Amino acid sequence: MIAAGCDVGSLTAKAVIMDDGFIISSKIIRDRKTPLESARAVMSEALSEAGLSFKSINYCCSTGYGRHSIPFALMNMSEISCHALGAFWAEKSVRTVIDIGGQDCKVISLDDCGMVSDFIMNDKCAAGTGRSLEILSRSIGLPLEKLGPVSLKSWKGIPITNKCSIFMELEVLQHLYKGKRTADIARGINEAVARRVVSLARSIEIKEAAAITGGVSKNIGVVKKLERLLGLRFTPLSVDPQIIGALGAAVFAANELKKAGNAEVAV
Amino acid sequence: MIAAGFDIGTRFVKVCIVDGECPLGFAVEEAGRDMRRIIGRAWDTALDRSGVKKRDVKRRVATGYGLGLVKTADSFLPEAPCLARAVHTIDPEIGLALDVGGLFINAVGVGGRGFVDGVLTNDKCAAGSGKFLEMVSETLSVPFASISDMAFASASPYAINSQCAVFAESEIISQVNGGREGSDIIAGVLRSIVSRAAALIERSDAAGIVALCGGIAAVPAFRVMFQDMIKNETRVLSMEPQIITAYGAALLAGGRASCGRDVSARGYDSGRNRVAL
Repeated sequence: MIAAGCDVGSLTAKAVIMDDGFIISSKIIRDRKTPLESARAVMSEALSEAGLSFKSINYCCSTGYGRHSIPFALMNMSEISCHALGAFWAEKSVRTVIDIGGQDCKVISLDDCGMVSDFIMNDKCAAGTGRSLEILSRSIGLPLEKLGPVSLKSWKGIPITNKCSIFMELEVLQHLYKGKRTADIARGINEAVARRVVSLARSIEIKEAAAITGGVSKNIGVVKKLERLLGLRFTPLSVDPQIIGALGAAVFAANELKKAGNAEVAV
Repeated sequence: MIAAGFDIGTRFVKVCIVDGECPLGFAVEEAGRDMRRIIGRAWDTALDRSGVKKRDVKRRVATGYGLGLVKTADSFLPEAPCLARAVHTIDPEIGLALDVGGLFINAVGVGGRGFVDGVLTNDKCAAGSGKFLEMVSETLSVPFASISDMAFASASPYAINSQCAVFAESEIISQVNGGREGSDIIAGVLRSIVSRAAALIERSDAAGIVALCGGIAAVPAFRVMFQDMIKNETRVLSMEPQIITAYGAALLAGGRASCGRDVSARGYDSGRNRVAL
């Protein structure tokens, strides 16, 4: 039985296809014009990778900010539940999930079954999200994916004190004009973003093991600083951390199928 | 004495040359990558327009976000004292100067003799700053001059949901793509800037007449909306709103000789008027 999960985020859309408890394909694409278009595009790419068509999906669950406008999804769940369940599916010991996405940042506390027991979320301010990393890396002329590796070349990051992303951009430009090393600025940027996330995370209890998901988890600079500030090591997940939300949605869909008595799904 | 003021803002560089209290000439240049050259160009234009030689300018004061970029300045001052001095010189009745610029909104209390009496700024968060307006007018390809007419034409201004300037930007772009009327979006953006500025005035609890300064104050629709939102009387000064801070810097550079009173030495070093930048 084919269960699918579709996560339409603010910058990228993700899809995961599961067959009897195994991931058979997954896909990440850049967002199209509307959430519906993004969902269609990412799902058809994931399906063609698995050699399937839309008809073969038995159950599909959607998540992400565009989750309400997807016609082929039979149910939708919040990103919070999906990230929790997805991370739990990938690694059973996970009790805390830190998800840093394109436009928001959430810290989720899990119970022993992978369900959400507490969470805190910032979606009001761009600081501490992928968006601010994107803006800041653009201002120093570095591609977003290089921001992590380049920052590792620095021994000491330049402190960036502003809290607002736009003021941070000004601050970064000033350092750049003063002729500071790009690596040091990159490290400063990563550390500033990590500090914003930690100030959010402090308001709920961080239980081990913790996992980090979302696009920003691919930035090694932010991850390392977060580990330092929180005093823990993130548990590595067996799947791409960016598709965890879609994976959680697919697991929800698979559970739905299981409830209907159609298949056994390992969760 | 002939003196010059440099106001290096986040979006524009303003230079003003004065003789005593009389403005001789000014120049405005858009900020860009090579700031040194842009400042030099503005300086040359201002000299040209005022018809004075470089060596005639006895003192120079720099202010604004990028004040350190003016290598030839004799001294550096925060915006607040410059603004307060300029506003007081132009119109002594003003009790509060509101400067709405590219990224920062400053509300400066103006004391009886043109000294600073309290400052409030939006230095924590860029929500509702002038950058919005610029970005929207660019996206809609509306020239800055016709923003006001468009805003007046709107019947139902679009209320922006996002608090954060970064998120508001994407919200506005998706509204534009979604086919919402340009005039409604512009009116909504102006309203968000106005409400932000009005909140600052309310926080300051000042009772006097408010002078509107800074680039955004040149938009008539902004002034009308602003007057609707606050209790205080608002006034537009006889000078171009964008260059008022540069004018104030030039006045302070002129110092004692400008009006026979000791302006530069008294007040700005005393603790009461010291303002953190």
